[in-house]
Amino acid sequence: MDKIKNFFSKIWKAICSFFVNIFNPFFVKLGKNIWKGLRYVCVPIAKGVSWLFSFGATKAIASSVICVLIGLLAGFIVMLIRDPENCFRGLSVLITSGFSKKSSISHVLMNMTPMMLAGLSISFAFKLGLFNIGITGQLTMGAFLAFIVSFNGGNWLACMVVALLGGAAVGAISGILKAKFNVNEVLSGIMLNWIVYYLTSLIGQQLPENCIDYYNKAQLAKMGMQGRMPSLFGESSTFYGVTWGLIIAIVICLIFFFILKFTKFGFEMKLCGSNKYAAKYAGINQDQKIVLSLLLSGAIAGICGYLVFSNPSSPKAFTYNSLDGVMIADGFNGISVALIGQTDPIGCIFSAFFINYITEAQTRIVNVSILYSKYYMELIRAVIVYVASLSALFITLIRRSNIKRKEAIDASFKQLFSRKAKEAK
Amino acid sequence: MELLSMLNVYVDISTATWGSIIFLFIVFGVGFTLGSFGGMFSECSGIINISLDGSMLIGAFSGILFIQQIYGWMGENALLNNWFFVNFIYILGMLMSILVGVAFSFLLSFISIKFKADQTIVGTAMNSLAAAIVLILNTIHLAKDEPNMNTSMSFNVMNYNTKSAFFNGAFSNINITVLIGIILIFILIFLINKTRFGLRLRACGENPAAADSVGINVNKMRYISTAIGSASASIGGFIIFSCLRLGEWNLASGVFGYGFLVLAIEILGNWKAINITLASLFFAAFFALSNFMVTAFSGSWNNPINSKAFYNMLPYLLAFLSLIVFSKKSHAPKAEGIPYDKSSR
Repeated sequence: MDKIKNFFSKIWKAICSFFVNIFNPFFVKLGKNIWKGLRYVCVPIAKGVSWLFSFGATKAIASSVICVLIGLLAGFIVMLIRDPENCFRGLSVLITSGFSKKSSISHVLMNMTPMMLAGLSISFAFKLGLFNIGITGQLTMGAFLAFIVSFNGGNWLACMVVALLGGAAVGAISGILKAKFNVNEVLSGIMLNWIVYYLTSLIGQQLPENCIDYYNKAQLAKMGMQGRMPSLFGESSTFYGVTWGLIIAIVICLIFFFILKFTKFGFEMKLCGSNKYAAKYAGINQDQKIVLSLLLSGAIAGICGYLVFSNPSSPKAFTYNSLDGVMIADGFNGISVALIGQTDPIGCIFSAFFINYITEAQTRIVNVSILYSKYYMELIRAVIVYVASLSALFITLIRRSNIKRKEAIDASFKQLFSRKAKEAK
Repeated sequence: MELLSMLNVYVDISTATWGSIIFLFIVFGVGFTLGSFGGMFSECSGIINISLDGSMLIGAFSGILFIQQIYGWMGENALLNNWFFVNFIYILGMLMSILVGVAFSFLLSFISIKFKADQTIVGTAMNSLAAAIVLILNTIHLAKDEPNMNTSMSFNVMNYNTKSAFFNGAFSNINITVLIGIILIFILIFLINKTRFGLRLRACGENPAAADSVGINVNKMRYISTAIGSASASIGGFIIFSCLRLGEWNLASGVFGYGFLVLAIEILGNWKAINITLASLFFAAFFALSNFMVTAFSGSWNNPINSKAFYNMLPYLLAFLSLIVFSKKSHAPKAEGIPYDKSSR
């Protein structure tokens, strides 16, 4: 039996080796040719990528993406620990639920409108090295004044302008204190938050009865229909909640991008933030810049405060006297928006979109598994901001690796495409 | 004095109400002082600590959760009526909050010393991180008892009721941790003002290069001081929330902004221990008064002088005005927020 087996195996081996000997050179050749052809595609792509990464913006975006991925990973790990069976379904819900339905898209667009401006307000003050923690007070003041104007029959433009002025006034107070009296803007911001909060509740108690909510005496009534923002797509569509406020917010972001990038004012602003001694030497009036930056930041926050309440589809009532002493949370959300967006006006648009996109999953993640909770979104957001503090480190790492590979890529690019090399062949 | 005579017209001030004012004053005073010492310790060594809110929240949560777990574990045991044993549990809860606070502080100090990250951003992130961790842990903790409940608001609420009468009458809510806290305040003041460790710590905040040149390990000092600070803040949170005995505490609203108030007190106190103590006692007095006003004038809240909001606003308004007066003298530690780089010496 063994002999027969050996015989057949020998024959099999012979046949195999015959075919391999025929086809092997063919495959080797084919492989070499494919590689040669691919080189003409791959090397330019690599060159293009390395060229892209020589820009600051690409590096910033890449580092933001890294932060977001780490945040999602953290959320995934928590889900893996709590309920390993459903973790992949949970992850897919986390990633896809923002675009799963028409209503959720409209919800995302609706919620990102004020958040974008909150982020812009924080990041604009950050350009000058100021941490505008008083955004909550500015926002509350703007919203409160807009409510009062809307009760007296003002239209949406009047409400918005008044909100802008109210926010700017509160912002200017901390700006003037910083410039004239050297008061830390964090301190005056925190104080002003509470002062404005209690001031609105004091004034709210004195308002006539038609301004106060019928069911809950601790609230102002809903904003008048005139004072609300007009809807972008008409009343009948699913996107009823998406207002012209979205367009206004994006335009404001673009304007501030333009100011910071292309004007003298923006340059002086950034100079004061990055090196105040150089700014002083260049003859820039720093006090004026500080007051202006906090004033503008407050003005943006005021508009944001108006937009929080002006939505026609989900009218919130302004709580002027809540017992917990909890202020409007959108101000503090703005901090994370600004940090994920790398304190860039355009980045704020995308980061506000992203945060709301992720937050949209909180109603659906509970259905995936009973062990999951909706607070995973907050954890993910917190981890992203925590990692975003390392963005400077990420950017330097990306730059270094780019510089390392750039020479090799350039050399092979030259070898392939330069004429001299071809002639030499 | 005018204020007090005005009060006499409206209400008959009994000893119990005075007791409740003094009780609130003591609890808020100790809590705010310890909380702002947390900021002072880390900022005097050169690390900006905005995450006091997170420290207070996570310290209060972990301590109270620990106590609750022991109570749940003991069941109807006779030991729980023993005065000594109950206070012993409270001390254990406080130790737990210290442990958690120290662990929490390394999130800040490690990333800002090792990787030279922006400390303001890290602190902001840690506030929301603490809120998220607490909310998630609370859902896990509550889901054990009520597995059928899915997404109602009661997930946010943390229930606790404990018996630990240390005094009788109005002070019955004060537990032993307040007394430990008062002792701790004196120890911390002594530590930063009078000892060699405190001097070195402040040197690291003012001029780390000079401190390094005489052989002080700057980064080690910063790790230690941030840990002390965070532990102190978490004790402050634990004291406030375990003594006020709110019955149920809506965790979604965090520590009601006390963490940021404490930050303001610390800057108002000019980074000096005794000034900070006085400033936080000032705030505590007005907090106690405003809480008293609510109970006293619950009928006539529409009058602006009587409303809670007016008395809540007063301390902030006065502090805001005092800022303008004292602002010229204010000076922060010079190396605050700047990561120490040995090569730049």
